[in-house]
Amino acid sequence: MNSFSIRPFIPSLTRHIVPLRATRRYAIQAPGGPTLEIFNQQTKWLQKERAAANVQGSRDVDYLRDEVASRLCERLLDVNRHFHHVLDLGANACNIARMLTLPSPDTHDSTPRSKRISTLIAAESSHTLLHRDADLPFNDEIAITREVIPVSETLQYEANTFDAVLSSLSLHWINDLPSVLAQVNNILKPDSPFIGVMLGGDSLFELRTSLQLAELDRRGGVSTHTSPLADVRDVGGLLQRAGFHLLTVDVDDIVVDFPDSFALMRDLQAMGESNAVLGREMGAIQRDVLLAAEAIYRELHGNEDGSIPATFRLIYMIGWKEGPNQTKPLPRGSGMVSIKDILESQQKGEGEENK
Amino acid sequence: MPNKTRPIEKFASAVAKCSNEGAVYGKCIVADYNNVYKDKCLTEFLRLKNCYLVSQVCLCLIRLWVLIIGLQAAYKRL
Repeated sequence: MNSFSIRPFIPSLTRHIVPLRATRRYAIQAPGGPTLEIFNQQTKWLQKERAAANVQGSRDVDYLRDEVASRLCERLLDVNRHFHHVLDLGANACNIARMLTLPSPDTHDSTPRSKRISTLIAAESSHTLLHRDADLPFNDEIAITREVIPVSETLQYEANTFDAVLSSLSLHWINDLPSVLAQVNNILKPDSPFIGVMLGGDSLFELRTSLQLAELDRRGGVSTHTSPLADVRDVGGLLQRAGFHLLTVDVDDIVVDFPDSFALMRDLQAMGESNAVLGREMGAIQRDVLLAAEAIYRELHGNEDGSIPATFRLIYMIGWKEGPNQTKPLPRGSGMVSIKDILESQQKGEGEENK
Repeated sequence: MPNKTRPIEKFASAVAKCSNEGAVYGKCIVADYNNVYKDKCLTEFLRLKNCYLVSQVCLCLIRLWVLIIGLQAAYKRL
């Protein structure tokens, strides 16, 4: 052994806190372009562990994740197929698994949604969060395997393993999204879907703007309190770059009303969604800034009944791995019917009806 | 932590008592939020902060008073 690592001698719980960079390895040139690091993965892991350690407090703020997971499951049911082997990437507290065991709210069918799925693998880096609900009754209704994955962005699965990959509200903490999406494309079987949802675009713009205004007035500058997020326009390009076909991207806004901005921040913390941007200011936020931000939030965005809204913009993405019998778009220039003629004839038809 | 009030909750309840001063400060900032500079609304903010400090002290005094009443009751029972 030429390299010596102290990593094995550190107790396993604290091992995650020691940055991966502290280990000494051979100096190798990473292939491809340099990746931009935005989030601190160790900090994110620690925040999730701490949040999940308070079991009741963590369950109380599951409203957003449950709702989003439920909407994601509806999109999975739209695919008329049986999935044998499904991966839930970044499972949080297995919200997708719990939502799969419930019947669909839109149909009168009372069978659980999980009948379409044989086995589900829930992968998550935070052990405490992943096993938080391991003793609840829903675990018996679905064949679920919990897997703790290392705090890195490399997926350790064989190629062509899964019939579907799901991901709910965890992709927005990934540094190198193109690489992870390409790996997801690799571990999918041919002609299988990836269905994911992430926070993006204008999520929490109320909090972002009021903190910025408060810091400008109190301190004369702005520091990072909310993460940079991907936009809807970027997601299509990202999926295409990762090699997915037949893309569908759509946006959904969930607006939650809170009594004050402190309740919002407390809930975000209990979800394990605190700030983990690498360049953030260390230490607690100043009370002057908090005081000013609360007043500005209420004035700039507040509802008439005294509550304050917080917008969560969800970007749903569906992409299919290329398969042999998959429908493909026809080659360019092969269209024989002019869309202009069809639209014009429809307009004429409508015009006559109106007369 | 069950049975233990977090500092942020004390902070929030003290701030909630100053909604009028908060609204004045908020209006001052929002009136021209494309041109915010340091200490743009200093007087309004100081008024808000004064109110917060006073209500925080009041909350502390009320808590102290409840504690004293409780101690007196316990002492009398002895």
